[in-house]
Amino acid sequence: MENTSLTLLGRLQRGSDSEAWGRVFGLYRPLLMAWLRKYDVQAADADDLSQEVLLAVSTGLKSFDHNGRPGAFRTWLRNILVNRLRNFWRTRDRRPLSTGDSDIERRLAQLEDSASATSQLWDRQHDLFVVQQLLHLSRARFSAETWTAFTRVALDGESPAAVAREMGLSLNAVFIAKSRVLSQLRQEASGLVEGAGDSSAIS
Amino acid sequence: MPTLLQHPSLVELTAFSGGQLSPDEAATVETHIEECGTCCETLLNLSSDDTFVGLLRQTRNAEELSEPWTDEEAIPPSLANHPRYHVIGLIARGGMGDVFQAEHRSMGRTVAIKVINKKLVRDQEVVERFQREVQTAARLSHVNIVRAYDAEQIEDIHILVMEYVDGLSLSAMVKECGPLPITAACDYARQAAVGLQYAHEQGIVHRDIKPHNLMLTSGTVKILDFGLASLTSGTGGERSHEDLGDASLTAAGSVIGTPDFISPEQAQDAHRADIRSDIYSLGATLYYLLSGRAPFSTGSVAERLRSHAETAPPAVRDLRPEVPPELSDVIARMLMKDPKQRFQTPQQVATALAPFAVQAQPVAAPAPSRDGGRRGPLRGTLTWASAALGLLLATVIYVQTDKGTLKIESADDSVKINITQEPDGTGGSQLTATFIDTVTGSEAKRLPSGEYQVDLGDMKNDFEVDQDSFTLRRGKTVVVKVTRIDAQAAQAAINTQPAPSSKALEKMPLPDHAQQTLMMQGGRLSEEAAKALQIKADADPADVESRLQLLGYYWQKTIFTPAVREPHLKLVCWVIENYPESKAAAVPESEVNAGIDPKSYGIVRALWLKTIKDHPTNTTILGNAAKFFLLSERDLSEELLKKAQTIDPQNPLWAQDLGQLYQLSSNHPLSEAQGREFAEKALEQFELALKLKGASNVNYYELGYLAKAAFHAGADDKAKDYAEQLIKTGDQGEGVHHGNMILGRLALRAGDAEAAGKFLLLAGRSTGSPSLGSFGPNMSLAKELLQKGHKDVVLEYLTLCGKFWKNPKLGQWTATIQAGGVPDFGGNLSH
Repeated sequence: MENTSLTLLGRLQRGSDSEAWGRVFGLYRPLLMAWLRKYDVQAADADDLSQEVLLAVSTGLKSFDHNGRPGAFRTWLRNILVNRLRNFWRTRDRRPLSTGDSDIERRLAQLEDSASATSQLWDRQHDLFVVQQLLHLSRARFSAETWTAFTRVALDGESPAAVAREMGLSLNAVFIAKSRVLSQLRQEASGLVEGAGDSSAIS
Repeated sequence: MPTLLQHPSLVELTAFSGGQLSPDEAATVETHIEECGTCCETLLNLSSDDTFVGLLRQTRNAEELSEPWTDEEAIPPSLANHPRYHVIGLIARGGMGDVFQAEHRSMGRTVAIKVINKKLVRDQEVVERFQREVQTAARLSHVNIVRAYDAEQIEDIHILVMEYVDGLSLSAMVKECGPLPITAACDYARQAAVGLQYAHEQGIVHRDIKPHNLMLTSGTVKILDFGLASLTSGTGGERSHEDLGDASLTAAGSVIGTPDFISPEQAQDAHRADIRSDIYSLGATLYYLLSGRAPFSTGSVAERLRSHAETAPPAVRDLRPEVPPELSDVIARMLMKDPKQRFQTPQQVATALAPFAVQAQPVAAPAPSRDGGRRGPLRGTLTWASAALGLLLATVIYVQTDKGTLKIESADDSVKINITQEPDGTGGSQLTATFIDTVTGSEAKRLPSGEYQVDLGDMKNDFEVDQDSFTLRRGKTVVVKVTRIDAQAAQAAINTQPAPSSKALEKMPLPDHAQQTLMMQGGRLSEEAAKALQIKADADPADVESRLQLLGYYWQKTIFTPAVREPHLKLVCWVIENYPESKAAAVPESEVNAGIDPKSYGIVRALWLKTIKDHPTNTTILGNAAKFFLLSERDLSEELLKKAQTIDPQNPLWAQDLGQLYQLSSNHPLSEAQGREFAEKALEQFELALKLKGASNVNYYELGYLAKAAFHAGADDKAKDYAEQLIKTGDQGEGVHHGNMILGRLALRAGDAEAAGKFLLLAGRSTGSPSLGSFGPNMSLAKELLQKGHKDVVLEYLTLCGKFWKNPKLGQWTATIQAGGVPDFGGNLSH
């Protein structure tokens, strides 16, 4: 493994413009599309708007200062989203069909407020979404046996002893599988997801 | 190298279980738990679930995720259900449409699939023309052109299936790195011209040459999107500049339809575009690569189009003075307004650029120059289909056949060789080698039957065939040379039988550190690279390097992938049979775990015993075998070391190894008495080693072993002596900590709690060490003091430890102690 940043965020930040764009795009577009739809943006516009948000993210990535705060990235992304949404409704002379202007403004203010229930929902969904994507992306890096052992023990909460017996593995192999996959996921998620932790040593 | 196994702390096991250790620390624990059932038991009862694991678990809750998380809009349903392709994910979005990475369901080939933007294909006439053109383009097969495989309509969407290129566009390169070095820029433009020439010869024009459409991968430029320009270039007839700009921009967004690289005649009427329009666009592209800007990069779309038609751009030399005037002239000629005044064919452009393209230096790190020739490790794509293999050839490979061994060498990796093996009906098999020069597309087949049958096809290459060799040329360059190695050499080459035991032992040709480096490198190989290496190794019994890398590769996988156990076993046997004295025979890579794979263990065990029998007085072999048996058969390991010690009594190594063996046993004793007995034996051997080495040559960790063994053996005076020496070694991290800890425990054993407290504080003043930083301080003395009611000194000790060990446990322990409790210090009691 390269002796460089193993975190997804680090790789995003180090990538070239087009690479960073491709990665951010693939990773975050579905999440943004879902949230844009929560704010009454029609599918066709949501497409453009999500590109705008992600373009702002990919250009700002290099100068983005994480500053060690957990959740800094998702907060930054949320703020970009709020700004673009506000801009969208103000400048395009469009009004949501189902709800009034003031309603949108009120809901955007909630999304902007870090303490609101909406923001907490954003945080939770963001983290859930990122780890889901990471699970998907990481799967190919492990053998099927490792992955199955990891899934059954870490995700499904099965007893390592039972998993070892049923899969015909030694007990230590099951622990190693769990440890290795979790370690990889933590490294990837570090800086993007709260609680992934510092990937160096015990914390 | 100390192989001493100590129990990891509870904190460390918890962190290991949760994937929170650094790779080095995790590796230590992994090795440990392979042997230690106690720690496996502990792990079984641990709960390592933190918020992150909780988060991962939530993803199993399908309901929560069903709605917003799958972006059904990104992958059109008709594509997701494609009968032949399995879509892996979105790679990029462009004005022409989204591009997905996909895999052919049965062939396993990775492809890129472009889903054409629906807005571009609303018109039936456009659709037909697009399909016609793409089908034409799909016939193009050239190293400088991204291969189009297929264009089709599935329900309501149009897709184009293309070669998947893992690289960067030249546009992205310039944005990332700024203007390119002159030789690199010229080489890339020259390669694009070579691709255009080939297409031109097939009667195909690109019409949308621009930096964005030139992909760079490993130094090779590949032209993207042949045939796609038909989608954006209008349906015919005269179009005004405004129309064109407007149409292409609205239809395709800002990514394509840029007027920066379009020729004046094409801007006026798309139908007038011929190969010379591509030459203009390539000129504008080269202009951009060298200067970082397009010839006309300011003003509105209409203004820029007008400039293409009417204004001469500033010379490249004006923007970049070091561009040679001759090169500036070549570019100016490519950019002439009148197509007749330009170069007339891409070949002329390639020829004109060639002098400036020599010795192009790679700009991207993994992009060696094509002209520089590539050697080194076997690279390229390797595909297995039954008994067939195909690989791009950039080095030397050996192929075994029934008629001897063929040596195939080439420095040009655009030559692809396919080797297939089929039953010949008489119980044997027939091997066919096909060579494909991907630059010219020509192909040569050869049957190794003693006579060469070469299918020349319509190729332009030259062949030379004589009795034992065969050469494929492109122009004057030899691109492939095949020689048959003489029968005797071939026999030696395919002789994989172990050397007879009576034969004198061969010396490993590589030094120890090189062996270890190769095995470590092997651990990081990709599956494909490992397969290629295996083929190389199979063909060349003298190839020690490949085998050591493979040993590392397979060893890494033995725990989880039973399929690699057999090739791993073979290599272990190869090492022991050929180089039983080498470092490679004494490292974990050459171990086989008796618990995981008892059958292989039995085989290697027998081999070691036979080797020892054949070389009964070879102490190096005895020592290497002892390492193999250390974990699973400690009695045997002990016996071998003692034998070596008898033969070679003046060597401190054997005492050192025996000491470690006993210390290992004393860590997991069946009884207290047995623990003490092993500690005594360990002390005896460590002291012998010390004597043989000379006290002045001893280092701090050996003193640590001595002090610890003496303490556990109940030899208090010796323990005190060694602990004091340990402190005096001047190692401010480990030495100070562990030395004072022993002294403190000795004081407490003697009933002096006050002195013990003082030593505890001295131990806390350690400056820290990598090991202390990860495993934390020893807490055994602190616990003993707490149990005797000495709370304050322990609290002070914890504060001191906080300076070299950052861990929340310290705070928790402090709180527990302040509340009058005795924390469970877990593994921090033992190391």
